[in-house]
Amino acid sequence: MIIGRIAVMISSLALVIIALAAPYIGSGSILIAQRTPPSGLPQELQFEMLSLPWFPQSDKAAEVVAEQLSRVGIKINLVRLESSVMYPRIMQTFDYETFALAVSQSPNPLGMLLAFHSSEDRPGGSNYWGFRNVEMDSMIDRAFAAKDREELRQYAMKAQEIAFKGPFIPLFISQNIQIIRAEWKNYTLMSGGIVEVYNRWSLLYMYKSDKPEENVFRIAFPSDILSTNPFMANDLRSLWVLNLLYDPLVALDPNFNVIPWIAERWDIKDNGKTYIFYLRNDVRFHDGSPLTADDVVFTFTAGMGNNTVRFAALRKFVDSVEKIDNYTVAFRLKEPSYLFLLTLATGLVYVVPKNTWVDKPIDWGNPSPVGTGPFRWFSRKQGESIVLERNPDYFIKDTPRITRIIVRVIPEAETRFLAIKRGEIDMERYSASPSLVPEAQKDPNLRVITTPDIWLVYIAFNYRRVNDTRLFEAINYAIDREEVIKRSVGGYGLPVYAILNKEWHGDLANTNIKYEYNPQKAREILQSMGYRYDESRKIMVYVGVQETPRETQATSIATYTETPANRTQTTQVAQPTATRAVEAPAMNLTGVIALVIVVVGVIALAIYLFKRR
Amino acid sequence: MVERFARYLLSRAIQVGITVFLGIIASFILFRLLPGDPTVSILDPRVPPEAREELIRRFGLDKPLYEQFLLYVANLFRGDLGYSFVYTGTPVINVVFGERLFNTLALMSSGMIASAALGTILGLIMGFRAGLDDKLFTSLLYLIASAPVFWVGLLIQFSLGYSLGLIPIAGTTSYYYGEVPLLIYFADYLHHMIGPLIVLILFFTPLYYIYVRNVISGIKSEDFIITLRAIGLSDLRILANISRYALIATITLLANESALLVVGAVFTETIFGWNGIGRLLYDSIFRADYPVLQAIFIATILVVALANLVADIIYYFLDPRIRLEGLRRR
Repeated sequence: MIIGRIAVMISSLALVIIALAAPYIGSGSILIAQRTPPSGLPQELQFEMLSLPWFPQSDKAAEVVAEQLSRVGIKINLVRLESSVMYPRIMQTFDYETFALAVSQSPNPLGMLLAFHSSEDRPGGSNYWGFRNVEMDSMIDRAFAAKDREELRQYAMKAQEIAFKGPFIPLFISQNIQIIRAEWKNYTLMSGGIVEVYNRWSLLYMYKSDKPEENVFRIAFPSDILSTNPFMANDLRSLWVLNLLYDPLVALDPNFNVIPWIAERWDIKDNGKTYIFYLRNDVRFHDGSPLTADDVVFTFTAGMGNNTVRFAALRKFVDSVEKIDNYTVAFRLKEPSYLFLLTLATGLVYVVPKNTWVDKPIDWGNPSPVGTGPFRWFSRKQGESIVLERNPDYFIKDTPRITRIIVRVIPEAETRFLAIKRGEIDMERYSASPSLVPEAQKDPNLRVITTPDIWLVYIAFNYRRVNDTRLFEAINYAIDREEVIKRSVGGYGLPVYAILNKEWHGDLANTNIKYEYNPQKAREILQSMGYRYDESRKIMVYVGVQETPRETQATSIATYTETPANRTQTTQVAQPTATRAVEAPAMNLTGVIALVIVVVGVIALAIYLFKRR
Repeated sequence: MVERFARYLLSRAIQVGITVFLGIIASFILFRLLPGDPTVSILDPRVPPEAREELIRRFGLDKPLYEQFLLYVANLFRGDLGYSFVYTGTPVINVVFGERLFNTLALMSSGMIASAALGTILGLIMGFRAGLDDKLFTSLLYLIASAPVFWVGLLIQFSLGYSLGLIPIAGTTSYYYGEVPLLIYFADYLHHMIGPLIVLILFFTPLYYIYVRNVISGIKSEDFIITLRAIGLSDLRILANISRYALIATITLLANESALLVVGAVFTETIFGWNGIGRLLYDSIFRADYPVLQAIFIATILVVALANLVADIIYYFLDPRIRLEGLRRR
């Protein structure tokens, strides 16, 4: 009895399983569609793109890119996340497919290059996209050890070519739009903006009146600075303030060439392994004590020794720092490198007074900073304002002309604009929204200044999951950067194709690298990879690279048709398309049969069990 | 009499104490229930691993949860709320309970008291009259109350601040350096407060108005009012008599809304650049600055609990029914 019951149950179960599996057994067409692509390529070209809603430039760009990619059958699902959720996913756990973001630019190409080095592919490293390429690694290593700019240029060019088809897809550099009260004169234009951190010039020479007491410069920040510690500060707002309070050893001229600053000149010895800096002897800290070699040696030894954020880049180059005499310091490098000097000038590393720091932990606080800079710390109300006053003993004579700088925190962009228009403040640090430009241009009291901004907006794929360069190439062709710029930043942007750009890196940028917008070419690349456009779902699906077009067309997937070239292709394979029409109902038939079998099986089982009772 | 009041007060105080304690536990658990590893999501992921470990150790995030909780409570009693994750190196106490708290208290208390007084008086009169003017006025206040704060704020800023130049656009002061007589500084502070205050009054008044008006129009048809009328009391005297009902309603609302005293008005403070807790709260949520959020949370619990205690005491004197309740129970 029991055996009979079990037998019936097993056979019913078998029937159900067969019925469910029937559609897959009966038709070969589905099997073709299920063919798995080689590793590193997805079955369907569908990606989840993470985006930060509060960074409008990259968020809008992501939207436009998603729309453009959908035109070639690459489906992008935009997922908007807060930074506290998104950053760990792209920087720590690597749990993402693709994301849109912006990376800050610096005149030093090292940061951008290192982001493609395999050693940075680790949690907390800068190679978020996980790019790995042996040739790239060696190019970056060689660029690192280059002895002069020409050598650096050679390797940088090659590195850009390798990264060209990588997972990092640069879109554009936005334009910095500054709206400033028209009475201010004598500012210096530089990439990044007129008063950004690499621009030491504007705030030294700017003025609006011959009466010193009227030269009060009021600038608005959208939020407060986070740190006043020159070792640990890591956000550009804080560094903006520190940049006025402290001085670097060497600085940048408006064309990003390294020029003397606290060090009035330097010698390179030992085949580039030793740099001897001769310090100015007229530099004084705000407390009156003179800056000497001791302060410089202390700053760099403590900064690099305590593993601080600001000195991390220099640790790669510098072995030791030694005092030679009171106004001479020697930097001994691990290897000769041209990039050392540029890193020193662009690293935002400042010389601090030894006597105030020597007994203190280097880590956090620094409530009233004492530096050598053109301005002195005056007061701060956290969350509201910071006041700096002119340093009358600044070593560049007759500068700064501004007597006071008031940094105010005004969170709302509309409010900042009204405050500028009303004359309550002189300018704001952030780039203004392009929508405000026409109104600002109408106002005779305001002036609109545009310079290339510090942000490079990009999208990046997770190379650990998707690593076929042909896919990245196709995506590059499918993106119309001009349209992205027009729609995400109102036309205020410059298209970028390579990992270095001429706005920030000058002659190091490889201008040969360029993609013309060509969606047809993108489709062709994808098809050559074995993808076909599924018209019903509007997505590219992997069908494999077939020897005969017959099999391909027998599937429910049709070739994308648009150009005459494609049309001929379709007519050539007209017959298989007909086969498909026959086969499709046949598939439905198997489905119906399967359903009938399932229903019959279940009813039979029910009747049997019912009867047993 | 005194004994009964003492008993009433004690029972309320114990309730408040339990509430506060539960709130403190909740504030600890809540921020640890947030999705993801706090050591990953709290700290800037670009921080190098060695520095990260150092920070985790410093924030005590490497200890087991119960140990963290004990430390948290112990530190709380010592008045130590830890360090802000964002304003690195600044104690939370200095971030929250300084000028920001003062600014928010000044703005919110004047805003709430002004709108409570205005709303109560208007509600009392309009509820008593219950004519066409009442209907029109009530609809108007509904309209104001349902407009977006952001929009109204910008409108006031644009009209009064920018176009007419009557009030400053943003901030709490125009004096950032130099010697300023205290009186002038104070007047300037109040001048800066006008804009946000108008917005607050516009948004809080309808709240009190509608509540009080409904209470009064409900009482209006009660028998004792007809009796009062029959005795020949003037409308004004009757109003004075029933104003006690309105006051109870207002105090209930004030106690309910007391959290805003500390939390502040996020949008209003943001638009007018008013450096208060509301803005800090917004920024801290944005940057996952949990210690600061915890501190604001605890301050809110304390204020709400205290405000309700005070309200209970006022009820006791205002409402004979509450006074008699204890008696009846006995």
